[in-house]
Amino acid sequence: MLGVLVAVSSVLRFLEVAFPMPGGFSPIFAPIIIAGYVFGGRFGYLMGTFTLLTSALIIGGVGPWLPYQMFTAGWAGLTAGWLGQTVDASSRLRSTQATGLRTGVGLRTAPSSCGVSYFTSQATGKTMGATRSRILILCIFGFIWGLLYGAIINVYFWPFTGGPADQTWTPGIGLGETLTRYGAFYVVTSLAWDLARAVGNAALILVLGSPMVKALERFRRRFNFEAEGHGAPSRRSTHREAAKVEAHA
Amino acid sequence: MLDARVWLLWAVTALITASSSRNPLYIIILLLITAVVGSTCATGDGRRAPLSPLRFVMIAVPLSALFNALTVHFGDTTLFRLPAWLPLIGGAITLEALAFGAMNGLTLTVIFSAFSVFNQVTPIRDLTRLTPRAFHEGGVVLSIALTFIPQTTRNLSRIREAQAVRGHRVRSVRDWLPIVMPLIVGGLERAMGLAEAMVARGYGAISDEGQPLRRQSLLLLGLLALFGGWLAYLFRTRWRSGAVGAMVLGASLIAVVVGLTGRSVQHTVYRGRRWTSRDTLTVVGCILTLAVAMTQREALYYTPYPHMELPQFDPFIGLGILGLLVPAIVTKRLDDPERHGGKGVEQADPL
Repeated sequence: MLGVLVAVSSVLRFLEVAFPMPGGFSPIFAPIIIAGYVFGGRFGYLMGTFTLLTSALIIGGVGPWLPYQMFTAGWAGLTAGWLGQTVDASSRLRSTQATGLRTGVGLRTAPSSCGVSYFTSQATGKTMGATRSRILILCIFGFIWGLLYGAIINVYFWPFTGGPADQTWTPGIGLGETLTRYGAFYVVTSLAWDLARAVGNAALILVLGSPMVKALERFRRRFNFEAEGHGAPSRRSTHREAAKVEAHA
Repeated sequence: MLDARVWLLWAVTALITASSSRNPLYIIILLLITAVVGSTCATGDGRRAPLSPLRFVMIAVPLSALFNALTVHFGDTTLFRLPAWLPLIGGAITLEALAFGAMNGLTLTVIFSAFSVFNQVTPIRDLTRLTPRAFHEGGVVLSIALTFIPQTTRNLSRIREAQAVRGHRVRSVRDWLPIVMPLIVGGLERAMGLAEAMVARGYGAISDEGQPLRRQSLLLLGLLALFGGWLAYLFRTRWRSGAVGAMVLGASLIAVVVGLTGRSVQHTVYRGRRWTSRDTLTVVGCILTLAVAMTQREALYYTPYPHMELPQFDPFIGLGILGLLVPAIVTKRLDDPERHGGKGVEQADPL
């Protein structure tokens, strides 16, 4: 699944070429963030790094910038996974309280082998509202990473760049001074460019987020299955191994 | 055709040499070398960067010169003055700042141009083979992604055509939904089929052994030493030698762990590539250039501040830089089968 999602996400770069967007906007970040959110931090990290690597191999974008792009996109996916866990945990907590108060019905979780416990709210019926709120959270997250991506990528060349003394790094200056100078450099050279990426990420997640999250969650349930046969304990491990293969595919 | 590792060394050598110098004479030589190597070694069917080096130089040099001239108000030769009340850009606009900015743009162009050549001359399959054995699972993911890309691209075209027939036009981000969603869902369905095929062929039967704790600890130690050393190098000038030692130690530990992990992975190569004398000569050329870049740092250095003077040129350094030209000398062009009406074959190794 990772390989195929990476292929799809890499091909989105062709859309970027076909329909040029302003500034640093690229459609590849929304799938990375949403996949990380749904499948977890590890998957998100791998999706981010491999998407950048694969698309660079195809479009001829290999260069000294590539490791920085890979790591930064990986971190975006990784933190999206953490965000997903946090949002799930908090919504589960809220729902436990709500269901406990109203109906006394507790949590219903998927079988432990799924690795993901998902919640179904039987009493509140607030699924639509919850979906909207998490898409909104994802939009804000995508916006922040649109700016962070540029801020982190700049670091690969900033120490070697010439320019005004209050915007360039010189050996021996302290951490505070380094951050101040880098902040000034970032605002002058990159903020406008990165804002386009940040707004584009938020817009794309707003448009694609809800259907994509639903589709990925559906496939997550299809990929994570477990057959429990009578008197055949070895099948559990067999299917766990199968799930590992599916993650690669 | 040269080995992918040799091309990588060539590109990194160009990167290091260009980064070490701001002397426009050496930078222009480097730019010419990348142009010659690109035109000689690229076969035409390689991957082209979205931006050609020529277009890049036309954008990077004026932009860099303008930015530096507007923000650095230093230098003896004042061209004109902007009102002092203008934030950041107010002050003297000098010839020296303009020239330094243009040189920065030229350096960036050399780096971009070298990696453009690298992208054009190395086949994707050769780059995939560079994946270390320790990361074989990542190699599988990469291979699957690369294999699926042509099919996904065809699907993208099909979906776009189908939506266009229905009157769909892409005008804003909202219009991407009917294109992207079928693409993702279709891709996931194919992933399902591929996963089943892989399980049927026994891919899931591999043992899932975790890494020994000792290797994990070594890796953690290596990462800590590398990043700790890097931070100390940046922010503690007195600890520089110790910081460099820590970085070398960290990188060595990481390399050892990757090597040990890779040993336990069985690796077979179908039609492995043979190392040729052309590869050896190119490596020698790169080492020559690297030696010049490392030992002649002061001679390579040039600054137009405070008063611009003509840059010095040392012919021995120029000759050393010409080591990067070796690929163009040892590689002969592939014959164009269309033009010659015959079979396109690579000429025999002249050495």
